[in-house]
Amino acid sequence: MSETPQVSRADPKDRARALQSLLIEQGLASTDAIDEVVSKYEQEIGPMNGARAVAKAWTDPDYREWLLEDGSAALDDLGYTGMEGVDMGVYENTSDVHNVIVCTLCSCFPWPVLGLPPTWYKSPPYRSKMVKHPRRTLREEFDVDVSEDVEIRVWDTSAEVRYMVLPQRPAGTEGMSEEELADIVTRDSMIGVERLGDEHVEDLR
Amino acid sequence: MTDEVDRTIEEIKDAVGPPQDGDRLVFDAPWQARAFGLVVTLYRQGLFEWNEFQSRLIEQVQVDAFEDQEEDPESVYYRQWIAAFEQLLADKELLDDVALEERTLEFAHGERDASEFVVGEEGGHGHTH
Amino acid sequence: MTTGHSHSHSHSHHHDHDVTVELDEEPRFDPGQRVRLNRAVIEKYKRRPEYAEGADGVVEQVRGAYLPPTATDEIEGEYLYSVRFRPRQIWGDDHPEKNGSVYIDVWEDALDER
Repeated sequence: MSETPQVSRADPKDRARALQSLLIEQGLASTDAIDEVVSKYEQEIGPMNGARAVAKAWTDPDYREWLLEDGSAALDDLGYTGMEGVDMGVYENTSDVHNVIVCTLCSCFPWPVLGLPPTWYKSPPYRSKMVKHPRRTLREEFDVDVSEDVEIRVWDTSAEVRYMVLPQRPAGTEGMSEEELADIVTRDSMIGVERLGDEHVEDLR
Repeated sequence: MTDEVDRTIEEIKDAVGPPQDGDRLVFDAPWQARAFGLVVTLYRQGLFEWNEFQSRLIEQVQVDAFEDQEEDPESVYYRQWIAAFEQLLADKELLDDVALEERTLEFAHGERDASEFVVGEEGGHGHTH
Repeated sequence: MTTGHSHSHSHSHHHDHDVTVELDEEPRFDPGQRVRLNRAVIEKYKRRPEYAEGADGVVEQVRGAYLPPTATDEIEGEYLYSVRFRPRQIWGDDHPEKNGSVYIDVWEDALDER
C-alpha cells in the first residue's frame, strides 16, 4: 500500500476531503463535477430504469428478444448506458430457470439500470454464499424457494460484463399498462433474489 | 475476530436498517458520496480505465476480509473504496504521498474544512478556516 | 422492431470511452468447447476468479475482445469468454447442488483446452 499509516488511520471523512482538495488544486476535478455525479446517482439513476426495460420486454415480444440477445443495445436504446454498464447481459427467469447475479470479488453491479448496489450485495456473506449455495441462500436469506427441478444459474460478474435478470411476469397482471407494470418490478427481482408475485402466494395461505 | 463470511445476510441488512431500497438514501454520509463522486469524476475524464480502479478495490476487499464487527458495512466499503483510489492515484503518479498525508492531517486537525468546496469561494486552499 | 441490429459497441449515449477492441486473431475457443481454468486466473489476473481455479467448464459464449485489467502498452486486447460450470466441477462430487450452473467471464489466457 502506498498510503502512509497516518493516512490509513485517519477518519475517512478527512481522507475524502483531502483527496478532493488536492485533486481540485491540480485541476483534475471540480466540486461541480463531483456534485453532478452524486446528484445523478441520487436522483436519476436507479432501478426504475431497469423496471421500465422489464415492463417493455413483458409487453413487446420484439423488445424482449432484443434485450436478451443484445442487452447493451436494447438498454442503450432507452438511454440506459455508460460507465459500469459497458456491456450488459440480460437473462430471463422462466419456470425452468432462475438466474441470480453476484460479484464474488467486489461489488460490480449494473449501475445504469439498477443504480448503486444495496449493502448486502456488497457484503462478504452474500458474495461467498450466493455463488456456492444459491438455493439455500435464496431460501434462508431471501425467502425465495426455488424448487429442485428449476435450474439456478449464478452469474458471477468477474470481468467487463454486467448482468441483470429479466424476472418472470407474475400472474394477475394481464390487464396492466406498461407503466403500471414498471411500478411492480423491484430492484431485488432484477438481481434475482426476489420473485415477483410471491406475495400473492403468501396471501392465499 | 469472526470471519466476516459467517455473518448472515440478515445481519448485514439489520446493520444498515430498513428499508433497503426506494426510500433509503443512496449514500449514508457525505464523505461516502464524496468518495464515490471523486472516483467517477476522474474516471469520466479518462484518467484511468474503470477496471484499473476495480482491480485495486478487489485488492482492498481481500485485504480487509476480517473486519471489526462494529463498523457499519457501508463505512467499511467506502473506506476500501478510498484506499483503492489512493493506491490508484499513487500508481498513476497523480498524487504525492507526502502531499496526501499533509493535506489529510490538515483536515484532521481542523486547519481546513469542507467550506473550501463551497462553490463561489475561489482560492479556498491557502486560506485557513 | 427487428432483431437485425448490428452488434457494434458504439452507443449513441455512451459518454465514456469504450473498452472493447478489435483483434486480428480469432478467438481460440468456440461456444460449446470444453475448457479448464488454469493458474493464470490467479497469477496473471489476480484471483479472478480464484474459487474456480482448475475447474472444468464449457464455453457458453465469446463475449468479445477487451483490454483486460492487466493490459500494458504492448497488449492490444484479449478475448473474454462466458464459461459455464456445474457446481460439482468447482466444489467436488460431494457438493449438494445437482441442478445449478455458475457462469463466469474468463480471459482467454486463463483457459486451456481439455
